[in-house]
Amino acid sequence: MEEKLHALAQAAKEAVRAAKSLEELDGVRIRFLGRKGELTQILRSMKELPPAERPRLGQLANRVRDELEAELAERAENLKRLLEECRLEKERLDTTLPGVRPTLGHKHPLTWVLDEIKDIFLRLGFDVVEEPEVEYDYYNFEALNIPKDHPARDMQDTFYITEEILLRTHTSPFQARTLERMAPEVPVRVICPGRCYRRDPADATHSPMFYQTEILAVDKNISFAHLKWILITFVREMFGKNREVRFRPSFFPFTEPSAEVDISCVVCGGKGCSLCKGTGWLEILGSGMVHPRELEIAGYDPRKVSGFAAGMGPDRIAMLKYGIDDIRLFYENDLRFLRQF
Amino acid sequence: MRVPYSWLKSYVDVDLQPEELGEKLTMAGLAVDSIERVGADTTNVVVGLVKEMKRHPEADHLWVVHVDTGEGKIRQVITGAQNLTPGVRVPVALPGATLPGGEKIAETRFRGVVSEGMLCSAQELGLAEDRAEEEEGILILEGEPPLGTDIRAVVGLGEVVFNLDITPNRPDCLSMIGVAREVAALTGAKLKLPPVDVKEYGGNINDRLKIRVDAPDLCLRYAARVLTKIRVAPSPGWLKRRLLAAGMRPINNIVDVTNYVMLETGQPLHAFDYTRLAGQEIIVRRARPGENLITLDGVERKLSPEMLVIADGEQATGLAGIMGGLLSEITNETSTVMLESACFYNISVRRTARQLGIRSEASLRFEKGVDPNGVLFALERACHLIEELGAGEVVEGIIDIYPNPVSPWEVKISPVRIRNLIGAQVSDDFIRSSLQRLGLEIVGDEEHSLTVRVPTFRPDLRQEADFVEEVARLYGFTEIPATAMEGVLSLGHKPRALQIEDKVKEVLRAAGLDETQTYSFVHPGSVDKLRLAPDDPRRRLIRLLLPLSEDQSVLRTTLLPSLLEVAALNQRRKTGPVNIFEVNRVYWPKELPLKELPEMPRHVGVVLAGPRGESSWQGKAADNDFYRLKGILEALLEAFRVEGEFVAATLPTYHPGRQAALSVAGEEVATLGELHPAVAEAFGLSGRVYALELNLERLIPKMNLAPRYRPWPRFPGVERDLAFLVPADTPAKSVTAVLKEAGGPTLSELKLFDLYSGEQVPPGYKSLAYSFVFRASDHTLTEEEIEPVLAAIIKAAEDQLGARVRR
Repeated sequence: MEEKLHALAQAAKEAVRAAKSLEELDGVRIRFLGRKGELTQILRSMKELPPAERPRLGQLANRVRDELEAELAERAENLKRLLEECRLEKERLDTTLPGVRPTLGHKHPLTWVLDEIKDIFLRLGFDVVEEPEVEYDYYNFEALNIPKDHPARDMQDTFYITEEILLRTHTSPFQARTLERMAPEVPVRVICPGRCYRRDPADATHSPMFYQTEILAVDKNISFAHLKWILITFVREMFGKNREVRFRPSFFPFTEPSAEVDISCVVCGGKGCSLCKGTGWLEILGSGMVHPRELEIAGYDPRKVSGFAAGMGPDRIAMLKYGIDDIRLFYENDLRFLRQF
Repeated sequence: MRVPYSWLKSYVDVDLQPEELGEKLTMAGLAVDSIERVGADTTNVVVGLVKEMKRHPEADHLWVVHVDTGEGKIRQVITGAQNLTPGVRVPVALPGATLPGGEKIAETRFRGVVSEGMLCSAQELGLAEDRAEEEEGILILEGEPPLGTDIRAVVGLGEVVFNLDITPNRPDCLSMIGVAREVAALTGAKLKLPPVDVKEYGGNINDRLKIRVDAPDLCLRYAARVLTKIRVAPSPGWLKRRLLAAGMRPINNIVDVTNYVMLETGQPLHAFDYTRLAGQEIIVRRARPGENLITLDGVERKLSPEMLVIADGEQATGLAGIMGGLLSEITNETSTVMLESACFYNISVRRTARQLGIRSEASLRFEKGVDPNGVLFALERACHLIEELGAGEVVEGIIDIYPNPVSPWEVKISPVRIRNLIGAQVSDDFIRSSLQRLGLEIVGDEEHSLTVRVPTFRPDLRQEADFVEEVARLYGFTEIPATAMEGVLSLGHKPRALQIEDKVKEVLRAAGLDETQTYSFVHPGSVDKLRLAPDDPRRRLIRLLLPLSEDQSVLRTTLLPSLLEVAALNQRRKTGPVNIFEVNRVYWPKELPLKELPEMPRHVGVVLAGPRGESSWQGKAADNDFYRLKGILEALLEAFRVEGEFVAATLPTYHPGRQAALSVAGEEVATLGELHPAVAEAFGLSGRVYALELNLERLIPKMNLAPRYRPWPRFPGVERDLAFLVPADTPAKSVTAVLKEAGGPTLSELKLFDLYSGEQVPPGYKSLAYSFVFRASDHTLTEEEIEPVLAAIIKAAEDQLGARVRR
């Protein structure tokens, strides 16, 4: 009996090792451990043994069964792994084939820039407002200290619709409208993005329609030094921390003093190149202290409050940021252009 | 404004490097656009003497010229210029020479004859801007400059010229003296004015000339001198060079002096041929109705009565402040000259110049404003120069009509306020000295205020704010610290409409659409291309008074034409699938012509053409169709939690059988459909094109930006699929309605998963397959509970729709 058991254990071990598939292995299990299996039958015949030997041989038989079961399980595990490895090997893909992409829509480059401008000023505590693109002559010029026949109107060739109604030439009417609405409340901190129009035939640097964003702050004790801080903060957020910023005197009818804001050239960094015409600087913003006359027209007392205003061209900013050399690309909408953003 | 450095130095002692001075000017508000060095890169061009010249044996229009360039040998040079005679001195570019712009000269052959160099025109040397100068031929040098001399020294090459961008508030800086005054203020140097002393040669101007100003409202001041024994001749080299460097073309000594003094002082002058003045009188008056004038440029101008003219006893002989008349032009025969120095009203000059389309150096200055108190200085300066050139003698006396003299004005300013507005520690002393350096006089100095007298050449200094700028720019904008704002903390707020606009764009991008930005103005014919009905309100277009072109002449009332044009452009250029959108405004007049601002609602436009996206190696993307278009709109509604209803529409823009309108809470907010083939053709589009336009403004109040969580059902639903055969023209919407109604409360989801017609479906029928989910909120439904509901659904479909269940 004992020998029989040993021989059986040996045979079973070999059969397990020889099994080449899970089906074969299952056959081995049935052959030895199935209801009519060889080991099962030996176990069943235990009761016929003399009682003295039963415990020892019973133990032996149980051990043989346990070992066999463990080996079967291990072999099954191995086979499974081998088979899986085999399958995975067959499923090898050419991962250098291109991916199949979802179709994502693209944000227009001007929208990217407008969103970024709005975001920066929102973080600085400025409200965003929208004002009409079709505007009264009064708000576009008169209320901004630009009476009819003022030389400053030379600078802006205007699309008129009637004598009194026009397409705004800048977002500045928003200054007049905002101040009129807010006076005499302070603080005023607002920005106004939107489309503007001038009678410039389209070429690489001009467009009869373009975007502007205007900034306005009015409060007690606002100074030119505050204007500098806000604009430097903005420029560095927009163009990077190391961007140099310079303010130089200029003229706008609705600010006094007025300043043009230049940034160090985005291409050469200030050494001078064709983009900055060798100066190392790029004009990026017009700004200044709100003209006291404008405050007065709106109903503020310019001896008690002061303010600053600034205006910028998102088109130009986008051109500088993205290296675009022709403003017409924005409004032509060639998809090969739009899909780059 | 072109300012030659050497000319500027005549009025102010400054020896800064050009770049250094340029930086100072820019940072003081006189922006330097560029610093030019006229012809500075020229090398190996020397003075040569024309000894002998003969025709080229092979070419009639060419000359073979023998020139002596002082090298001890004669050079042979070929030229096509026709203005040479033996004995003149000319610039000769030797082989190896470089001309402005980097052009290199080498020995060459012209039709077999060797040319050892090149003779140069003024233009080739970079001296003249326009081609006219070149057509006149080779530059003939004046006097007898030594042969072989470097040409740069002879004609003033290498001159540094500042190109200044003068802002409209500083008309005083449209002159060398004005710029010199700024330089003096910036560097602390002293301003030196040029001599204006005039020797009078007897006679009396009043015996020779009468002047009457009939339009004193348009002519603030009119002054004149008469000069006799005029000898018209070319100007001397120094004068010509300065004019050329400043961008003006020399004409003759008299005209050149008037131009020179204008550039020097900013005061335009005009010289009339005195003998051509009928009745020897000048009347400054408005033009007569129907009056004509031939201006110096030879053009006959039709005048109108709001234009100011300078007339003699008979007719207009000059356009005041803009351009002289041809009749009284200075010619070689001119023997007596009337020199005019006047101040005309800027607005009238601008209007007239605009109306006639003339822009002259004179009109430019009058438009910006000329100092009426500088009139005599310029007049005397010009007379001084004419005498200095020996070109004429001044008759005794000046006529000067100046009925309402303008006086300097005083402004009271507060140094404390100036300091606070600048935001820097600018001392009172600095403020005082700045004003003085600018040529302003402090006439009152009290504890908290200064009173400043402003000379009339600074019309821009009217109130305290103007002085803040003067002090700040002399202090240096760079020196002012950048200081963070103080005050209550405020929260930046973005209005709801903008928040929604941003989100809408996000959803459309996520749907795979590319954002476009198109012009707000379109061609008026675009509404015809859309086949809009005659009474469609979108035909009420706002027209611009003076559009740039018909293509951009009206404000759009719909986004579709612009988007369809973009689609067509991209189809033509084969840029790939067109799936685009735009969110921008349209312009709806309340009445025409406009009396008030129009309605400007924000619209969303979508255009789809061709496949839905890029194809890949796995296959082509499916083509767009009506249902994808509708799906995009549905997704948008879902994103904003809006319930909408699609209803039938009959717009001529769309395919009659493939269009719909979206109605939300009883209001139409969008239309969508496949483009009518005639519309597609009108826009040059090929294939099927799908478009939708949504009035976002109307939808915004109905949108809901705040999600609200609803737990999903706790008990599992039971799924059943059923397919119905219904008559082919039954709208899916009515089928769904019947099924839902019959399904009652236990039917929790109903979804169409297949539409089929063809084999196994009888003709005139279609098969709609739905999946149903039945569910109760408090237990799992049993088969017994579902069976009667299904039966009810099938019965309703049979009874109400004439449907049959497919098994």
